[in-house]
Amino acid sequence: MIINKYLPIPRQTDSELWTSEKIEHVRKLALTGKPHSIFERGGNRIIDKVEFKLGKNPELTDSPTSSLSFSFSNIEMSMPLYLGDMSYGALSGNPNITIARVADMTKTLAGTGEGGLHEEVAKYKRIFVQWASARFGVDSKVLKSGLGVVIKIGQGAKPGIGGHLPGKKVTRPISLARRIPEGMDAISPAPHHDIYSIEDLGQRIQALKEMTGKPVFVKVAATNYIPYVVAGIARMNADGVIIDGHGAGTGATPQVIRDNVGIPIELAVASADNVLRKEGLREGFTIIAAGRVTSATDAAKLIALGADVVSVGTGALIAMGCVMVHKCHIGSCPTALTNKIDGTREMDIEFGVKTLANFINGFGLELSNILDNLGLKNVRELKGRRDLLYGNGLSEETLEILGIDGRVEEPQVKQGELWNRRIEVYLHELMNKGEPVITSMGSTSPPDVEKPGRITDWLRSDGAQVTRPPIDPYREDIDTSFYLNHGKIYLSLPVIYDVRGAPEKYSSAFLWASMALSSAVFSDYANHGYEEVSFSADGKGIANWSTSPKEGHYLVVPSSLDAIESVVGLDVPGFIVDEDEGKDDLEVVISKLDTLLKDNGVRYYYDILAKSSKIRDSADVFKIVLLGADSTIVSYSLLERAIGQGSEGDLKERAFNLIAGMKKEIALLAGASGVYSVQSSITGNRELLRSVNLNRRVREILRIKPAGGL
Amino acid sequence: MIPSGCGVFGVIRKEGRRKIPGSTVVKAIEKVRHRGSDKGAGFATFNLGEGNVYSLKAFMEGDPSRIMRMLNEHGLQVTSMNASYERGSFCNCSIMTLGDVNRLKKAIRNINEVLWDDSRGKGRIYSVGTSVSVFKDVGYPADVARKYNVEMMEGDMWLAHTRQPTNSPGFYPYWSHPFSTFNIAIVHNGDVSSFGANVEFLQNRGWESFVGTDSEVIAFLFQELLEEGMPLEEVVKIVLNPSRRSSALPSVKDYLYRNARLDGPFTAVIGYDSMEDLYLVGMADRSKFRPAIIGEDDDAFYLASEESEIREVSPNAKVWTLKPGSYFIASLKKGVISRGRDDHEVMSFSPPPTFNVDLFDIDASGLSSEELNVKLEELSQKGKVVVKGVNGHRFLGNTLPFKGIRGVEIHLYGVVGNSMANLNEGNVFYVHGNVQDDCCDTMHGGKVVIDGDARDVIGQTLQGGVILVKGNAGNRVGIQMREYQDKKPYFIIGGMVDDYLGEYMAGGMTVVLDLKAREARVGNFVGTGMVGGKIYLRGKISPSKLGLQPPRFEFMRLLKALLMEKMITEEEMEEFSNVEYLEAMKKMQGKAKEYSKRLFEEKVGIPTFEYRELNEDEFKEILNCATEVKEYEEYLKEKFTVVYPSK
Repeated sequence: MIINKYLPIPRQTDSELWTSEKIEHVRKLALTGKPHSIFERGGNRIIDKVEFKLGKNPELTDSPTSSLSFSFSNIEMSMPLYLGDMSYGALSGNPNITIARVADMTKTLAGTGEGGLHEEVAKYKRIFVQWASARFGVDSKVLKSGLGVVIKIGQGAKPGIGGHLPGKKVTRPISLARRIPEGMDAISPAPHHDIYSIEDLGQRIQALKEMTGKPVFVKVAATNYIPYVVAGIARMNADGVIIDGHGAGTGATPQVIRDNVGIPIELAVASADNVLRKEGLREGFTIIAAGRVTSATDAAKLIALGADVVSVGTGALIAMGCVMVHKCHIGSCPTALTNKIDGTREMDIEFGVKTLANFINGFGLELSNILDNLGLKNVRELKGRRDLLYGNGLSEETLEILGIDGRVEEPQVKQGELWNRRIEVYLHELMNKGEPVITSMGSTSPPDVEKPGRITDWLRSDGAQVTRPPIDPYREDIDTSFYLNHGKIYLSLPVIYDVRGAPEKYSSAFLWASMALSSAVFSDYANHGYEEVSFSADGKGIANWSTSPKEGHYLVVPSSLDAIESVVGLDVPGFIVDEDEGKDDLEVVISKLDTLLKDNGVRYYYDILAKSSKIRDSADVFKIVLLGADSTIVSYSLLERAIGQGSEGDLKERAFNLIAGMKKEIALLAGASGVYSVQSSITGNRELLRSVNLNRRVREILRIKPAGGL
Repeated sequence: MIPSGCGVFGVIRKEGRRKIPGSTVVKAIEKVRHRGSDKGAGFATFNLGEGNVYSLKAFMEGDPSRIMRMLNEHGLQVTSMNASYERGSFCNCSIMTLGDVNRLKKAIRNINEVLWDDSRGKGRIYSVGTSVSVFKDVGYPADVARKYNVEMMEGDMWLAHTRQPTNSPGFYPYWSHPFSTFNIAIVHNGDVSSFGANVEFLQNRGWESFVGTDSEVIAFLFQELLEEGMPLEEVVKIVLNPSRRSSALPSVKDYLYRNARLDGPFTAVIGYDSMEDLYLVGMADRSKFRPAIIGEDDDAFYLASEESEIREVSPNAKVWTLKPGSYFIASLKKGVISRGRDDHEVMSFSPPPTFNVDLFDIDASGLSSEELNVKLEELSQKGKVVVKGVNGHRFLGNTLPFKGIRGVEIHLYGVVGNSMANLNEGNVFYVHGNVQDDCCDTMHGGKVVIDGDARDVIGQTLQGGVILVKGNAGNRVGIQMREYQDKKPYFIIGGMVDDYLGEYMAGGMTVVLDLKAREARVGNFVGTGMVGGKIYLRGKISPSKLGLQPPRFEFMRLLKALLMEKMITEEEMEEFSNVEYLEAMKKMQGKAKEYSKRLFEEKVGIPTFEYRELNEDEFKEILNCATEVKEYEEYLKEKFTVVYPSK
């Protein structure tokens, strides 16, 4: 079957970054090659609230006058556009050929991604080949192809996570390009095992330069240390960096990573550009900004914040027909862009070339129109012109990091729904498979797309890039276990399941699953045979709790700042902060209690357990532990939600899957941040958290740094 | 935190031997100048029992008499103070003081807190103790040495460091190593992911002021735990953060010090004066993400990032590596306390290499890595090139495939630096000596023969040709090897290997013979994530070494739960409890096996194994690749543990 026209856009039932309007915009460009609209407004991203200062109403013409051409590393560009790093394997072949051909036609650039070099793609000149952790399909001939080499350290959709192309997708053409046997799993390790630090990266950059004589770029995900990472890359003599922001597209990623690790590209670019300037490293060094570039307007803002070039990936796919159904990882792409390569469905190259080339031309004309409206002659004049930007309703710190002026607005913490379809679908998958939930394309999570439902939605966990290696969560000794009560209790993960009030079949499912997986249940009475996994109020479990101070019993306190003031010095093994009672946010009370006990020098004699029926997933658990909790107590009702209207099935197995899945996802989050020992290195480690445009007062109570800050 | 990368060096003299001149230390650390930058370097010297006053050094902006006043306010008597203004109002001062030791420790913490946040100008006391003296600044090691005249000094023990920061706020030397707190100094290579947690632990103990590097935090953790009266070796064990699988720490200790442990990559070299003795400590993280080499000669013990540093000052030293997650401790009076691996292993490392040979084409001493590569290209048409005096040269032979040069035979005498023969296609390398990290990365063909030892990550994504290491190979050896169409890689090791042999392996054959032992010594996690190929380990190897397996406790709990639901019988429970996990999995069936797999295995890829003799084809295939060593044939006739993917 040949796909040579656009399919209708399905009705969007969830929040999407790529709304129908945005997709329509791309299609209009792709069908006409003419500019359509500029200076669009609306959206939850920070960049959406950054606007150009315009003296008059903007004008849009088909023949704008300002120039987009410039050069970097001796590469002449017709416009600052890079078609970003989509591999052969992630895409199904014809799209790869299309992108490379169009890059030559339009005098832009295309990154090949890590799939080796497709022989048809190799015919085109304007490509950057990739040196990634598995070196798929790389030899001296491939490295000599194209105009430059990209060392891929990470990507925005899954910072700190490796790749895994299942054997069934490794068909003959893929096997030829990647130089691996047909049908065998293709695994890319999370780190390069020769790059564990900045000086190791320097060594690899130097080696590749000596071998190829070409410019060497380094691609990294935007994470906590991005300004330092970029400064390090520049200092190591790379020609440039591709910074891939949070929410960038992908063919497959664990959802918990995609939605919770990494920071927005606008903060990363502004902050990296700033540090490079301070260090005198900016000259001759190229920043390519990637991740969520949805329009020429986004591109112009990123350039004004300090980028030289923007990368478009998802936009290019949409130009070639993508309808954003998030099915790349299943291999059943209806538009034949990301489907399994077995000859059953193919995108028509001529169709793709026409629409993609049109899109790029239209995109360029829009960018040129923007320059005209700003009174600039060439796109280079826009670079770093933060003074042209205005922040319309951002927190004071966000404006500082962006280096722009604007109207300060410290946002309300709770703006959206706590529960939504994205979370329910995720829980359903987790309960069925017992494995981290895999998804594709860019994130739709808060705070950038959905509105935040609780404080954790504003927080980002770290992804190790360059300065230290991420740890492979599947194949390394990542330890998610927790000792509680002075080492007397062992939990295999920092989660206990509250079964009070649960229907009998649910409580017995969790009892059994907790036994099988070395977790525990929180209950009034310890069930016979399950004493070793019970936190109960009857004195018969492995741990006891009480709502009034009682020696040897965990003390349950409501989640309120008043309630924790008098707990220091009590002779109890620890405190259970209950968000279902009390008026203050759990994150705030946990962090405060942790700090209070530390101020008194007694923190390590106590456990702090965070209890709430509003903890939704492993990411909430992980972030609350980072804020100082020794473990969490979540509700059995997660399983009820996961089942929803569906059949209950084998509840024991499903409870097992839910716990096993959460455990593995916690390992993913820890590994991504470069941590082996979850208890000792994650508990209270606020350095691994960053907040994105969070209300300053709350941020300060939590003692965490703003994303993009130094 | 401000992350950075680095090169480190440490040395302690043996009792009865002469003090170590600063010139030796400068020479060693300058050898890895390429690991650092002009953004910071430093030295620490220790001389036991010297002086009965406390010596302090501080950097500060503005008038240094502030520090003197503060010391007086803490009841400490300042006997002398020297200050030199270096850049404008930035001052480097050296202070001698008398008084009670506990009062001093408190005073320093307090003064540092005040100075670091002082609106009149930041400051920091960076060297404290009776016998330790730190010399640091921005610049390369040689620059810093020149400034302080380090080469003319001597010491019982030294640390040295060259720093590669990701950024450097201004010209201030606050972030240069070594970091020192009372009678402790440390240099460090890595980026500790537990930094934030460690700071929290210290804050709970009342520490308030940090310059913002992980290295400083390691020094503080040592001081804090040592002050509890904990023996040095126990402190090292806690800070080193052993895996819970090994049950190295009792659970109560593990709990109590839960934020006092290091995570992520680190090689730390620590000097400590207990007032009675001096100790040199080296620690490597559990994955040995950073290199750590130990050397010993008649005069001293050495710790270094690269072997070339040690060879530069002691060409004939006995050299070995730290095992992943292990530590080295030596003291001036007691000698070696821990070697970082057991004695048999240490003994099995190769003897010092020969740097000299009578007939040679190139003398590498005095040549840079790039110059040497250009000469190799130039002389390649000879067909055979002999190079003597190699010490730490990197990237050797990498450009040959890019110049279309094949079929050259290259002989290298000495210690080859990192990343030799990457992307090799059809050239043959003989290393008469040892080779450092990342050798043969992405090699497609040709042959590499190492007479001595190879360090970490040799043969990564090897996809054709042969590697033969006659001595030991390090950590993560032959990972991601793969075969494809008619290409098949071979990797034969005559000695032992550390952890993660053949991780992610997807094809080819890896053989560990280990001639010096009864059966092959291999580290943990052999073949983790393996999807193809075979690993041959001579002798019967415990299945506990293969793959990443669940913690014993969790597996027992699972068995108990399976029994409760009658998915296994009482007898099976009994049986499975008494065998290694891999054996139990071979026997487990049905729903029970599904549950076990879902918890531990599905994506991990735990390999399985057979114990048998090589078949005829295997025997011939392997022997063909190792014609250089006659005696291998006899060893190949023994029984092998053959590891392969379980799918």
